[in-house]
Amino acid sequence: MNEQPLPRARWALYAAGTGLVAYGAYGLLTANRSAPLAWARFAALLVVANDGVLAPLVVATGATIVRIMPGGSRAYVQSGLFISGTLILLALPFVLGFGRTSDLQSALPLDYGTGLLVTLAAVWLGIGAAAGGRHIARRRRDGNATSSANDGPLP
Amino acid sequence: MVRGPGPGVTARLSALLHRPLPAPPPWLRRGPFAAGAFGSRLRSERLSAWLGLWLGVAFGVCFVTGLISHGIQDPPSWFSWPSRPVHLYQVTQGLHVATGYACIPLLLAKFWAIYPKLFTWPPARDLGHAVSRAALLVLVASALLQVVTGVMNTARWYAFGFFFTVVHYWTAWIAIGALLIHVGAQLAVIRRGLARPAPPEPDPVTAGGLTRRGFLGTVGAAIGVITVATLGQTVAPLAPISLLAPRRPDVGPQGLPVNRSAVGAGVVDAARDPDYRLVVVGPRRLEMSLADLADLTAHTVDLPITCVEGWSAMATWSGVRVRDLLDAAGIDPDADVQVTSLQPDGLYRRSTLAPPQHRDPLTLLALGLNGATLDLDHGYPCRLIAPNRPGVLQTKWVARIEVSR
Repeated sequence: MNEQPLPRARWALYAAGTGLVAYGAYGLLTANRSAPLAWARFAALLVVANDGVLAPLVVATGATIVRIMPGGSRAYVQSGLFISGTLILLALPFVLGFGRTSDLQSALPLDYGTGLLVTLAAVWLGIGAAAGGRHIARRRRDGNATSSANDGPLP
Repeated sequence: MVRGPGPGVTARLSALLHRPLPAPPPWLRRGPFAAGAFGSRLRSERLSAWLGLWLGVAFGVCFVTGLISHGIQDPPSWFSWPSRPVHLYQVTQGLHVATGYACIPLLLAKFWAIYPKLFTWPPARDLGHAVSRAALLVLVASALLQVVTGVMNTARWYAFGFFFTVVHYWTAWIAIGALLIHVGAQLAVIRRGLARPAPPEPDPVTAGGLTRRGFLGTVGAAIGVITVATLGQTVAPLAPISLLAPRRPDVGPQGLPVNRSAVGAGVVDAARDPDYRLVVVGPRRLEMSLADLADLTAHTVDLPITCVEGWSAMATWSGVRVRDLLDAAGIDPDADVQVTSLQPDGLYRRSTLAPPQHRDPLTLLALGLNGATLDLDHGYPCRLIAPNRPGVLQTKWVARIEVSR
């Protein structure tokens, strides 16, 4: 498969993509106030933080859940943790509030720590309700199946 | 399907790219590099392809709305932006920021789905593989940079050591370019991954964990929660439940947010000076005190302030029509007009009004806001307010109006 020449669509995408990357890089290197070194430093920091810290943490959490959580509720916990994690990452700059200045009362006006806790509570209430609803629905279905199997003739 | 080019440059290039590189010693293959190091059965081509499709749409929306915003603020000669519909920029920029926020769960889900590929063994099979991995690194780095700097900008947290708008604009080109390269490299995988019908998957309860559909649903739910938690900064009725919105449309002086205060802009004394005069430079030069401006025919309009940071808020403005002032000064109605602030410096000290904006009857030099005299932070003695325009171009503390050179 590797020996086959690439389809034309692929070469077209490579050419267009390389052109756009080169245009962006040229802009970064030449534009006023773009600071390419600070750009490279921050990009490297983000990649290391993502691939070297956040991702291993998530994989380890996932492995722990599989080990300690019973099968029935595992999916709900995984969902809840994913939503909570992304919400916390979004809220972090607001909760830290480094962007606040004394002369701008309207910038970051809320108590974001409390807001985050309330939103997280709402998420887990929703997760609990979904899990509970599914549990009840399954019990009712199983109950019906059992009673009809007992009452009626076997197929 | 598509016939490849004959033997020639591309064939030789292809041969060069596929020449095997020496393999690293096998004892290095440990930890995450070991075969079977990542156990989750949830990862699949199909999951990656769907997340990639959603991300592609999100990046496309951010790119196009971002280019629009950039074009309005720094227009190339061929670019023209209308003054109507009044709320158009509110929609495009609100969408830009909301879609950017939505990229957080999308990107993280995608990174999780492809994380084992980071530990591919051998790290580079051949030159082509190495180039393709380097291109992927460019995509990952630029995507992370765009989303993180975008969110930090809405939190006004400038800890990255470069000027946000310039870097966010140029990195967007890099991210979109790297995305096209990635799509090119993954064409076959994408075709397989998005093919219908989907392969069957085990029942979620019996298997115990999330299914592909369950995971995609979770990503959708995370986007929903993030959107509800923040969209109140753009859509006012949602404000009471948007507990993480960086702005409230009704919080600020005179019930309206501000992005640059009079103190921050260094204009307090100049704006309060009783000798203040607005100068309109045209064939007839006008020099007007605040009282002179107040004597002119007053108009009242409802227009939003729409920030590039995504928040927006409606307000009722009263003041003089800009086109009346320009006509009184004899300025050519087809000329671009420059509005200059009392601010001694700063990137947004000046803005340009193209004819569609300054001829619009809604475009005012406002003296009043929500029934009271304009607050110092909102641009007292007078400010520009025009429809369908970013807030940074709604120049405050206006001192001078003239034809653009």
